Amino acid sequence: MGEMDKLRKEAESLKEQITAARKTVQDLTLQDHTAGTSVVGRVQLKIRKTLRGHLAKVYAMQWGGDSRLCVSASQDGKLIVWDSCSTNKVHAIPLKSSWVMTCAYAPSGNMVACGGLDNMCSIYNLKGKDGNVKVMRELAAHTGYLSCCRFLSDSEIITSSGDCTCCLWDIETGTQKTIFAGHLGDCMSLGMAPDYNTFISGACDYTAKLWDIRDGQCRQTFAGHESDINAIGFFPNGNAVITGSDDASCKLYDLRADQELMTYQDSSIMCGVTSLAPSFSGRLLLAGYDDFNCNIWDMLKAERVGTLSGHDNRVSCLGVAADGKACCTGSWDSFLKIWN
Amino acid sequence: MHLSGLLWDLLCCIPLGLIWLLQVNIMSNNMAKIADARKTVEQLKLEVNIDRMMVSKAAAELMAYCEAHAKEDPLVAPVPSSENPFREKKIFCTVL
Repeated sequence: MGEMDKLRKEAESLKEQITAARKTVQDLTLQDHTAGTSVVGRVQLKIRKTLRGHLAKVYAMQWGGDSRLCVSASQDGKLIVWDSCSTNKVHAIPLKSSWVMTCAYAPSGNMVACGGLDNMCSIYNLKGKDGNVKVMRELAAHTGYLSCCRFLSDSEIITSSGDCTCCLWDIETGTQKTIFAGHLGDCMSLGMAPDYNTFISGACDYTAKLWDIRDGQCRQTFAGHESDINAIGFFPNGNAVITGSDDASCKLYDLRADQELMTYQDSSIMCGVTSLAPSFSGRLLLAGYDDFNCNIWDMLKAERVGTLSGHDNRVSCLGVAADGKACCTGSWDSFLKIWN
Repeated sequence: MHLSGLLWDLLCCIPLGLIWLLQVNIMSNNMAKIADARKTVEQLKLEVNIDRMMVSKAAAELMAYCEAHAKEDPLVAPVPSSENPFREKKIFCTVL
């Protein structure tokens, strides 16, 4: 028992040192710095397209690298690859397990992946020889549900799981290359850095962690949220991280200052954030909420500058295309909508 | 009588065995907790020692990035409908 107490005290002391070190560099707040800037003008985005076809709740979506195709996953047991401009379905892939919670589009456009309560990440080859889309690999080793997956390349993918770990997989061999352990709660979401050297994870232990992909180390941990972190993403320059939580707020953490810079919340918003994405320049933060809406925040001034209302149920996923030209929202009402 | 003596010994062994199993369980549980606590301390030691940038500099760079890219951000600076791939191209009727 003596050893446990010693370790506990040491941990507390180290946490205090971290807090003190963060305070030392806090010469100004982001609000101070942007005091002279005016809030961005009201942002009014219109629904340009509605993607109809899923027969049940849409749980996840991701834009392809070409900013035109996107993939969505629904608990109707289908992955659909859409041409967002024509609203045509390029592929409709039936899944073995309909309990899907996440999907991903490889940057090359050659593959998609999905997973959920089957605890596996299934990789599908879109460019098979005979034109049929087939399962290429089933990555099985997680002991909890697959909450999120993101491709590094056609040969590597990172997954986050309800078993509190994230994992880097070799798709060719179907084996785990690195396990990222450290979270004390279900990992709910992950985001890839623009340079693909690091990734961030948000979990039900209310913290976000920054991981080095190659050596498997957790480099930084960010606390502050008062409930599960459901959504996470990088600021476009890769130097900051944005999180969205069940505590109804989003937070901006700077990686180099190692601390929270801003909170995006409003007393009128009392429901959890389910998804988020920054706009191309990082000036706007688009976030999807349980109350069927999305809110658009001025990231530098922390003021709400717009709302996206159009869904009849919870907004479960949201993504901004790589070229920044459109935002796609997916909802439990079974539709996806393209806005700009 | 010999038999009842043996039976009594056997009966005593069971609770003693259970107590022994429980002790081993508690011990291995404690060892696992200590191992976890050690890992937590090692991780915190890594996180304490990183270099931290002044918030003013970090904030300035974030703001500079937003400003530098604002013109190319179609959601901040909307593009005309002709350049919006999601808008219907207007087709005008022509009289032949």
